[in-house]
Amino acid sequence: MRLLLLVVGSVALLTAQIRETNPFTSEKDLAEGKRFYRFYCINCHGTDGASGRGARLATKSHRVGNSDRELYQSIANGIAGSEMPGHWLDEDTIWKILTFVRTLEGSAKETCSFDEAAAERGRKLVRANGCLGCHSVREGGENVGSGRMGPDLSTMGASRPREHLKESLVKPHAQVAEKWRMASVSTAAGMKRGMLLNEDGYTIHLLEPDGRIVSLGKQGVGAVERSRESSMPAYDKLPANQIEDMVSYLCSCRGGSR
Amino acid sequence: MKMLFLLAGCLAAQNNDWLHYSQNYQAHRHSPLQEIDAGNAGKLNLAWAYTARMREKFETSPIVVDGVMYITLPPNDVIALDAETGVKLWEYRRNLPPKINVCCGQVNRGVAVAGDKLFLATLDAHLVALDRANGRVVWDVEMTDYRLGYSATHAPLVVKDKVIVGVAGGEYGIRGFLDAYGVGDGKRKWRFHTVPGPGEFGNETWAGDSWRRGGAPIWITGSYDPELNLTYWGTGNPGPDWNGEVRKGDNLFSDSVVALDADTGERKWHFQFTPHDVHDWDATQIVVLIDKEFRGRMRKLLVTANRNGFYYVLDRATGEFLHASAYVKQTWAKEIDAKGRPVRNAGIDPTPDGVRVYPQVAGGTNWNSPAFNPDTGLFYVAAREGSSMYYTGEAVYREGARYQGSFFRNEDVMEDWHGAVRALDPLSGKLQWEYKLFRAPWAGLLSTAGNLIFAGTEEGYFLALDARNGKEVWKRNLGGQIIAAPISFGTATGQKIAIAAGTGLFVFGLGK
Ligand code: HEC
Ligand code: HEC
Repeated sequence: MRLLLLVVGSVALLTAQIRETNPFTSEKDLAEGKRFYRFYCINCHGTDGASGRGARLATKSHRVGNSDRELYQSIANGIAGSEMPGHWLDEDTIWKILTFVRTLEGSAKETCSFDEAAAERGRKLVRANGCLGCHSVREGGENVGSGRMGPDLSTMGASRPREHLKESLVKPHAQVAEKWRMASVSTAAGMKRGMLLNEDGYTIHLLEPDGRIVSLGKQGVGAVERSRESSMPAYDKLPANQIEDMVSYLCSCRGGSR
Repeated sequence: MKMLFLLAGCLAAQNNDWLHYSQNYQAHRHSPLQEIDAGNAGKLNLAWAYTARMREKFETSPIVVDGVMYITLPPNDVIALDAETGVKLWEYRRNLPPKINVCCGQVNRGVAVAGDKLFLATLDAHLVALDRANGRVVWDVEMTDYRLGYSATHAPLVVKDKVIVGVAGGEYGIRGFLDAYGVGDGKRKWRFHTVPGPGEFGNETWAGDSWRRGGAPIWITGSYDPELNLTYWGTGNPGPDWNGEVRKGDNLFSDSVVALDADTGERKWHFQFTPHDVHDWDATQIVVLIDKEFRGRMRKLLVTANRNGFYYVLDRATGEFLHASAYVKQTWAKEIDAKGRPVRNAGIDPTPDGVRVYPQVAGGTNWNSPAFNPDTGLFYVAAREGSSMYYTGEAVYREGARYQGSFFRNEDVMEDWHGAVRALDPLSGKLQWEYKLFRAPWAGLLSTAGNLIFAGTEEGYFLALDARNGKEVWKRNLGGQIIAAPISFGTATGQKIAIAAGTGLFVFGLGK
């Protein structure tokens, strides 16, 4: 075998011939699928499919679609532009994992319940705290924020449990995906700080906090200091009830149509 | 456009042509053309480009004959282009069956040429002869049943009146082989099984009947010594990849180089780099033939930078082991002993919880071509640094399904991954210079008589380095990952360099 598929930017296109429906759904397949799931998926999706930084799997409606085929493709090839990696597993294994993932759907319980009044208070707090300077969000199909420095919040309530959202506000740097990490480089014109968009042998691209993309030739820059942290400030000084309200607001963000 | 490609019979090698996958039978990937050199390479410019519609990896190494270039596109198309302008002359499209079993993409690395024919190995394990003038099928033979996990991806090698070609499928429980077919009639002349059957030499190196699914595929082009009439081929991993329990023993001739009589396919010698491999370190690297004085005596040598992290020197007449030294960081072997056998460190075998070993699963180098420049006398390799986590797991065989015995992971150990173009002394393997690469490369190298080394990067940079010292003399970003090896050829307007990158084929020259 020659080509590992998990290298940056080269996930194989295994899309050619995929069955429409899952042929591996026996009790034995389920047991094996569970074992594989524990190995490959819990780090991001949690044992219950409803915790961790991955999308919530314990739900009947998945963003990538709900058919066997669509879910198979997401697991095999990953989701472009997200942290969800492709998995270089054989077809049977992926189907068996899916059989287990389907049982999580059944256990779907509300992990992000909220109260309308709290969500309404949270909606105002999110604006007052400047969250939309970094985040984009759609409310009822309308764009109300268009920040580019952080992930889109429009479907947080459908895909993330409350605890995760709360942690994101008070301890935002507990788990930060590569894509959002900050870096600093010293240049002749002083220190530059931003999100590391790209780095190769010769250039570095930073997305600066004001949204500008700067390209720096490597000859002209000092060492790149990579941080494990993102630019998301910790809101741990805010009163607990305000945090709860903002989390309630986030729980109410379910992607408009759904 | 030149129209002289109807000649029949043997082709006389013209300096302007590029007739073999690796340029010559010795697999030097070295062009004798010297118009482009370290002094003027800074002026290289795009001569033409050809863009394809595809989403697969573009791994082709073009063949150029009499002003026509032949390339392959994934999955199994062949395109003829005017080498001067890039204008398309014809194309051959192969219809493949719906379910092809390939580990690593529906790719192809190029065609072979003899007389008026081109030879294409296909993903459904056929060998096809095409008419060089118009792409029509002259003959099409099935090598074996692709439904059992066999496929073919490498450029065949033509030796005298035979086309030599092997099969891939090391992740599918195949039993590997190398075949020779008549150039004229497409009839099979010999077959060499890379996994010996009962009663054959080496069968005892496979526990029970594990030889039936032993793997040892062939998916990169071999080399040939006309004087010895021996053809040399590197073989792939034993199956299942990461579980050695079900195949105790050395597992010959996996991860080996085999030297075969080109007329009969009879094995003259073999050398196994990684006995009983459990890390998926195929020996499918290009094996390079050089003639040099070694310890006071002129010798016919075979040299290769192996996926297991060691550079080897063998006597190619006898297979005698002469030297090995690491050319990348490795943590699996204490040393290679006087017979060429690795002395393994403890705790390097895959476990259910994973074990971290250097080099990474894709190896210190992979199928990406090395180059040898007879003028500088140096061996050049695109090296890959880093480790993988190796896991073991159960291995259950089912016809045509993956048979790997578990897996590997890289996500958590990629921090120190990087690459380099390295120039090695061919006899001692000692590093002469290196040019660092940001990521571990999949691109092969080209050497030219203008003392240049061309290399490619994961980010799409195509580079020219001074072959004597590794200084960068030119680079361009071609906008797509480079997973192919460059070639050089000549046209009426001078020397050209060609490379596939992303979904395009790019040709550079001095632009007179
Ligand atoms: C490195 C973290 C990570 C790992 C490991 C991981 N995932 Fe994901 N997964 C994610 C993230 C993040 C998303 C959300 C992607 C997005 O933004 O759409 C996701 C999305 C998904 C989706 C789509 C959900 C939806 O609502 O559309 C499925 C299905 C899924 N993952 C299944 C799996 C399975 C099964 C495994 C194990 C084989 C796995 N994932 C391993 C991070 C991960
Ligand atoms: C300076 C920019 C910035 C500001 C201001 C900011 N964030 Fe963030 N936020 C980020 C970044 C970058 C990330 C992604 C990395 C991380 O998780 O730390 C993030 C992550 C998040 C996440 C987790 C998303 C996920 O995929 O799980 C949530 C929820 C969130 N922010 C909400 C908020 C809220 C609510 C506010 C205001 C109280 C806020 N952010 C203010 C930059 C910002």
